[in-house]
Amino acid sequence: MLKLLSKFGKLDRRLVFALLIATILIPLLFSVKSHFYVDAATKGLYDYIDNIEPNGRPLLLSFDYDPQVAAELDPMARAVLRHCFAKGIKVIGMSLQPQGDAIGEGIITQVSREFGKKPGIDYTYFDFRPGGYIIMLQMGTSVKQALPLDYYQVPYDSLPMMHNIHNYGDIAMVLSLAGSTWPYSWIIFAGTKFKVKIGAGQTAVMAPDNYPFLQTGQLVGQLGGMKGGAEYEQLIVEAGYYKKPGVASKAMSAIAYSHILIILLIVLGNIGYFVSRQLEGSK
Amino acid sequence: MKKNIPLAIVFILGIGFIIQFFIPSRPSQSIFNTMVEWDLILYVFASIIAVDSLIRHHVIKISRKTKGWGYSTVYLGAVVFMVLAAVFSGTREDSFYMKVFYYTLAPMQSTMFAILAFYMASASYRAFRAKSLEATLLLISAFIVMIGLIPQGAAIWSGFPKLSEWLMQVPNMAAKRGITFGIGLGATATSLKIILGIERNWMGGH
Repeated sequence: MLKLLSKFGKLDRRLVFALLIATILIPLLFSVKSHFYVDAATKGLYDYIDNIEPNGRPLLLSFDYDPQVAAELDPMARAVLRHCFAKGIKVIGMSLQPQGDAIGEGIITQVSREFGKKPGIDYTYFDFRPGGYIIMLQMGTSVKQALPLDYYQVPYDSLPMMHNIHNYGDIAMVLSLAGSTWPYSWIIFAGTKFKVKIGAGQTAVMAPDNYPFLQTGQLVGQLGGMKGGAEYEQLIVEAGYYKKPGVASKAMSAIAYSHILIILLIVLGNIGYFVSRQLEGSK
Repeated sequence: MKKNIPLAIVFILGIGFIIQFFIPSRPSQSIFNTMVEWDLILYVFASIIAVDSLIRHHVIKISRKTKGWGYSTVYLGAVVFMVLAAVFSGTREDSFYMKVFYYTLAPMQSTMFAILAFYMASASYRAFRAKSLEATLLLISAFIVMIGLIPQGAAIWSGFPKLSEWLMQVPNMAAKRGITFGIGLGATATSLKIILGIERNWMGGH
């Protein structure tokens, strides 16, 4: 029996991979529904966006990510856009990453069609311009100078919703979705210098880095990983802004079971480790 | 001359921007706007240098037939292919270039990232062993955070999500804040050394 237990500490990695595939696939195939505990960071972001006046100052949504983290961040973008469009909040879309540009345009177009929103009137999606923090600084004095053309090459002055938007003072908040430290740059170059409110949507790996900024109020809120997206989906469904939870809630069920598997594996690994030590000691 | 002019530029601009930041007057704002435009131009030229350096690196690897040179040919081929696709089909929504992006590049990048989950699962199974007090504390914290994140955790005990949130907002934040202060102080010290000409490695080690 002890020998059998000691083997738990040395499971073949292929077995671990196979178990992980099973725990991810089964909940995805059978659509297991879950109810999530909404953490303070998600609630903070939701409440801030929910308090933006319809048809007032727009929300700036920056798609600062590449396809590799899209699985985690796309659902957040969709949930936030659904919240905004359902509430009548205008949205300015942009990207500081060359590859994020196409991703953002695809998502904003898709979600705007769900709500019958029109480009240039209810939302604007700007074309990518290189520069990163320079673009952030430039927007502090002139959004038009930083982003002269929208994605479809329409000049800034021909976009009706941009007529009264001059700088950050005319924007309700900036929400940066990123798998890297872009939100940190937004805090420094836009939040601290021009006093615009900043929110973040980050991958689960990056999210813990932002807790100091959440506590100081430099971030109004944050969506952390797939769970953040699932929580936001739950909040907009509960508030009646959207009919059913989206991809994040479904994916989160798969992630939940894979977490349980990892916890079980760690317990088994430790049992195997202690039994092996006991066996070695008795020899 | 080659040494003093760059040092003088860095000193004048470094001190100038510190002053500019704290005096938000009209002339100061005008200088700031001009410098931001210059910065953008420099950024574009830096990008050109980066692309040139990357291509040069792979061409050298191929010409010297160093280990893995085959991957360099694939890389350079892909670069040329994407550039030609962008030039001839454009980069709008329905273009061939965007189709390659959506159906080839994006899935490949997503797959690479997804594979990490398998390595992380395997690594955490092997690495999380209660070998010492510190390792045990780390193990327990990881347990609570993981179980607090999932709905099943709240079903077992309603306190798990709150405990998980507390771990993230208090001990994790204290550590992160310490690291951030360290990085900030280090960056400030290095910047001052560069502005004052004490640190000169950026000039190629002169």
